[in-house]
Amino acid sequence: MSMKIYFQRYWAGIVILIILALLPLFSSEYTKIVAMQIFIFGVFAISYDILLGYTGIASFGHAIFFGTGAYVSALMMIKAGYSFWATLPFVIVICALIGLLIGFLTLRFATIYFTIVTLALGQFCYFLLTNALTYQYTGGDDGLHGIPAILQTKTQMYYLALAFLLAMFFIAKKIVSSPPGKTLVAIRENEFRAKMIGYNVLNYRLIALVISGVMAGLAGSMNAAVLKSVFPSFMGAGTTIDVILMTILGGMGSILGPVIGAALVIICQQYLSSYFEWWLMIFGIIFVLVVLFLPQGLIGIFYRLKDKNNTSEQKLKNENYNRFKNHFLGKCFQLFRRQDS
Amino acid sequence: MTSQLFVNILLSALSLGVIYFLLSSGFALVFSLLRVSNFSHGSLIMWGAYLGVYLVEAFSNFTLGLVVSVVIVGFFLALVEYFLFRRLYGGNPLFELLLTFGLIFILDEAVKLVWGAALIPVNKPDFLKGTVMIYGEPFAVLRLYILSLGVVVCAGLYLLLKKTKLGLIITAGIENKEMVRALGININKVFTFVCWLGGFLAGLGGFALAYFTGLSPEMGASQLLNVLVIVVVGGLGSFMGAAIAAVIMGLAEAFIGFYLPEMAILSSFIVMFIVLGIKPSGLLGEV
Repeated sequence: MSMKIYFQRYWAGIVILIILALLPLFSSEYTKIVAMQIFIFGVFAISYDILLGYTGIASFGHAIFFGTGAYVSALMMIKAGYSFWATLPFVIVICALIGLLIGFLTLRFATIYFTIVTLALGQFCYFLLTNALTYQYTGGDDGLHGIPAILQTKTQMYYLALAFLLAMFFIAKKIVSSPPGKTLVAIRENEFRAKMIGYNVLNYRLIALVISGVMAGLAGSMNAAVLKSVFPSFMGAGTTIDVILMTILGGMGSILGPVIGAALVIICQQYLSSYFEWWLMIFGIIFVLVVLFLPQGLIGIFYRLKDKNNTSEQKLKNENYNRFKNHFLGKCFQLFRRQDS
Repeated sequence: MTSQLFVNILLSALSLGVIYFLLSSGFALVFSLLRVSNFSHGSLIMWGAYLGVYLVEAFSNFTLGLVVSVVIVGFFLALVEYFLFRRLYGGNPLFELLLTFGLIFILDEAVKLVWGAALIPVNKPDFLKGTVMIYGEPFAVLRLYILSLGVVVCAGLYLLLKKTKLGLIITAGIENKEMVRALGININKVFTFVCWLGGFLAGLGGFALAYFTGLSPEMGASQLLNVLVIVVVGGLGSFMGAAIAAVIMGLAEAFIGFYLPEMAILSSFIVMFIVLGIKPSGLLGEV
């Protein structure tokens, strides 16, 4: 494809990217922090979408990975003096191991079991984090503070977070459009059939959980680096609820949807919650409506508008209409011609 | 440990187990027939508690307040089934789960909107105050009341499921829905009734819990966790399993709480991991 076609197809994305790249030049510090939160939670929501949207299993304890990533980075940087970049391999390995462990424990069961057990595991981890026994390491309810800055200015951090989101976005795109990604969708659509064809369903789900867990862990350690402190709420039920909201509202089963959902939820959290307290109730109503009528999320509206004339059904209709029109007009012309002659 | 103390802890454990049974029975019933894991169950429990306490004070009549509040909570879930769940039957079960999850926000925020976000202590009616002597140890009347409530509910459910025609249809529907439909029974009506019953039981559980712990807007979420753990330990889809698991949880919490107080908050997780490690489908699960 030439440059021009690329631009025609993705002009909206390119415009948004340019706006995002120029944003730190004329925005306040607070806006930058909100934007960074959106980027990081965008990655977290993408990782959740790989699990929920593409693999079709609902984890209600996904914050385990996010919190683990944040705490591993924070602990290694504060207590052992590692640099941020040196902690990332550890985050990846530990999150992958946790993913394997949870997967082996729970993925054998039907999906609803997985949901409930991950919910319980998430609460278990939260209790472990705030327990008196682990207070000297994790700081209990206060969390850990004073993580050394990894870059000098906020603007640099902003570009780092943006680059992180873009990198993860394209990696996730590559993963879900690769043959294993397609297999995941096949398993989601019909587990029994996929099993009969000869796919090892458990292995594929484990892979999805590990990939998703590692991405969430990286988002967590990024969050620790941006905020320069970690809190037990990173691992709490609230974080999991946020990520579910983002993924469902934005649109599961598309990589772009969760990012938009993350932007929506975080902007509402930051700006709306100070105006009226019960914004969560409105979110709940929207959530229920989306689940009932718009399973592809808010991005589904966009796709529907965009593809209105491109769906195969519509094409067929257009073709039939054209054929009918030509036929009818031809007949009319014949009639006229006959009268003429 | 003296035998007196042992009996006392055992009775406390049993009353705790009975509360857990009241809380989780509605969830287990709805799941076993509809295969909908109703995540809003915790919020219904909370509504039962708030509404029950409010109506008892408004009517200044204990029995009337109790009956009206639990019936209202039951009707709420029946309406949800009639208008919302029905659209999703036959599709991906994920969407039913997400729908009930969305209801949590609406119900929880509604409680905060009506009664505020602060903790509310509950005044017990006079006949629930005080203690009786059992085996030479004082025992709270409240716990006796909860024990008897549990026995009544258990007996009522047993009679309903085993001795009536409706119970027969429900039991048959749990086994094979298509066959029940083929026999000319409108199972959708049964679904709505079971949802009403599920909400009724949630409300009753919440009402019993209110006099135990007081009211707080977080009780829905924490009770949901308890309910889910119990239902998983009992085996999803098994009503009897949930009842047994509830009693086991009560015992574990009371005895672990007595010997290792700092581990009490983790006791239900410990039991869950042990049970799922030995039998991944739960105590009486058929999977």
